Amino acid sequence: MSSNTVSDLTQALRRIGGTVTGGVERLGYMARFLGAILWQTPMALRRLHLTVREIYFSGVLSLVIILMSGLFVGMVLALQGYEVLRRYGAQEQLGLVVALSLVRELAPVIGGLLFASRAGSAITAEIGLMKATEQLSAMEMMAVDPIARVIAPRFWAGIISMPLLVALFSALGIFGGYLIGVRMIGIDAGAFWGQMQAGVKFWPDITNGIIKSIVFGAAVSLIAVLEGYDAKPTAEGVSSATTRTVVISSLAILALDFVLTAFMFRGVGL
Amino acid sequence: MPVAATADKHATLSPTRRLDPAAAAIELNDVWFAYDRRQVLRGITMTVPRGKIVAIMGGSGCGKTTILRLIGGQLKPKKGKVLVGGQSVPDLEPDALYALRRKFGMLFQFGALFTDMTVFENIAFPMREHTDLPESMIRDLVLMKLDAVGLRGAAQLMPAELSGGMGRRVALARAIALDPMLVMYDEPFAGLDPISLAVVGQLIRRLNDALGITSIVVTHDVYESLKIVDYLYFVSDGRIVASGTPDEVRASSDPFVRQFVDGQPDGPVRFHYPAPPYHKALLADVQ
Amino acid sequence: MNRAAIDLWVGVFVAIGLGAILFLALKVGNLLTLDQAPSYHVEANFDNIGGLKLRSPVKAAGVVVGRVESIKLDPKTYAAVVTMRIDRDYSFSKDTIASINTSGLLGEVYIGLDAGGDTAMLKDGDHIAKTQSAVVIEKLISQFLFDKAAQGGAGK
Repeated sequence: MSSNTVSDLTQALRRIGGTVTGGVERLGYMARFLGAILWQTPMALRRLHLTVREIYFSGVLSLVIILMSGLFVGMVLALQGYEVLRRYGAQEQLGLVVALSLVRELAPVIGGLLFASRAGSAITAEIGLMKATEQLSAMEMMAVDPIARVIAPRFWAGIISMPLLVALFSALGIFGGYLIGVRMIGIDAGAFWGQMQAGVKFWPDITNGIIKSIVFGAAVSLIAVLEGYDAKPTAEGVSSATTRTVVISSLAILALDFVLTAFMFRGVGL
Repeated sequence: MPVAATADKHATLSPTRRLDPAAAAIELNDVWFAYDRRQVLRGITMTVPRGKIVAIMGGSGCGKTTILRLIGGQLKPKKGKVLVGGQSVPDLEPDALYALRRKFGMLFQFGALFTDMTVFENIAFPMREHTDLPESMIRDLVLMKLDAVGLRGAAQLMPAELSGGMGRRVALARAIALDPMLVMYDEPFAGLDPISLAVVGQLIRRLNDALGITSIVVTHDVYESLKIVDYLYFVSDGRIVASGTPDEVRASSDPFVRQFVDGQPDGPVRFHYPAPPYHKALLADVQ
Repeated sequence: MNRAAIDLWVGVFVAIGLGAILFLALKVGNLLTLDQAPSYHVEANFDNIGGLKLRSPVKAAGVVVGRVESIKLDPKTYAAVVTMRIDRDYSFSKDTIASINTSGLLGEVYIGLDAGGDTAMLKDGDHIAKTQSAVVIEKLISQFLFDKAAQGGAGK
């Protein structure tokens, strides 16, 4: 082999190694950052109005997109589900199918992805801009820890908002399924709700949906505040941090979803 | 003159007075600092006496802001001592550092006002964070500070609604909110119109004297600085290349000082960025 | 946005969010079911429980009267021991028959109780004597084939 290919190979290997060590370093940094946030939480809780304000910006302002998406997803589920169930003469189960799909998977995952793109990116952009305009530095110089005052409230607001938004997504989705299934297609309302109630169990289905939404909320919030805090204080820095938040949050949600689903629904039959 | 009228007393200045290191409030001793691999400061030694205004001047990116961050404890020097009131800043515990920072005020470049709060809330911020004063008292104090900078009527505006000069003044009011012992100004004159320039400059001087504080002004605005400061340091390539009182600087024959003060395009700071010889570059593709 | 308006909207948001969770728990799930009512336990042995699972329903005349609490294997008789939790409002006679049924062809598996005529009622901890195991489709089919083969052999 010529010396050129050898050096190319070693360089490629070095780059792969660098990416892996960089990724592990980042995870460690994320863990330390989370530790710092949790450490500062009591101080942030003393200023409850800060967290309430952030719940408004993350949660309330995401309501429109969550409600609309939930409704549409539920309606589509009903349409598609009906087509498939009809082949086996099991249309009566439509309510159950819609409810289970939403509560177990679609609401936490799609709700999480929407939250990441709407609220997560907004949080990253806001914190990044505060960094770029030296507001975080100013706070530090005034002996106020920006983690307590800026980061922690946004983190906890995300964790509180997510389960609420996901529950609303499920509820609206089931309503959408009802609209299509019962009102439009003509399935018996009693069968729709009855099969649903018989088949959807509070534990594990609904509680696991709630657990998933809390875990996703924590992941998205942590990634969003971290990327904002770490953003380069330039226009490109902030914009690339915002993009990274959405991409990494989405991947994290899907990966965590797989892990959680594998744990929760092992060996649970219908 | 309205600015003078807001001050409680008029300080007497003697620009030719030697600055006594023994009375220094801030002292940097052979400080070295580097960002990653870029060496920014190479052995800076300077003193800022109590109650005086000192300007740090130099071209862009020469390390002026870094000096402020070292004094404020946001950065730690690789070598050398940074002393504030006798305390070594890099060696302070986090609690002691925060206690020290409460005695500082800082005016950031372009203001760094908190964009989600009103002008009033921006100035009340340090008071609410660090004191237990009742809201009525805070309200009075905020209005006093705003009055000192002439913006009492703008208390309910949002930072986005302020002009550059107004925003800078509000940031100044916030910097002196807790009556600090040291105020640091990072490019306070950047991007201001001539009227605002004069106003900010006069405010820096009058407030320094009226409140008995020490001020460090980092800037490259020569004209305004010479009008208001007590002493100047010129930084170039990480080193202090010249220093003196405004009169000494005006009369200086040091080539760097002259190029800076007179605004000459070429001198010790070269006009041309280092490049290979011109004719060679033009003829490069002709064999 | 002033503080009062923000607080109001956040309050509304949290209220409807919790309302949605409540809706899911009650109307969609089965939180408020027999699981809370006072109940008593009854045991039964089966040769084959088929697809019966924990928390499968126990029905009488199609009405859910209880749930399967535990399923174990008797190490001596190799029969399945099923413990059921039955709502205290319903009493069954000592000669009740417990059988494992499937609702429909592909539906869920449940225990059906057919009450007998005995005046004595089952108490907490009692044992149901008569049981009918689950119908396992494979055994049915192999039985059918075996019968058919026997018929065909006899016919020849």
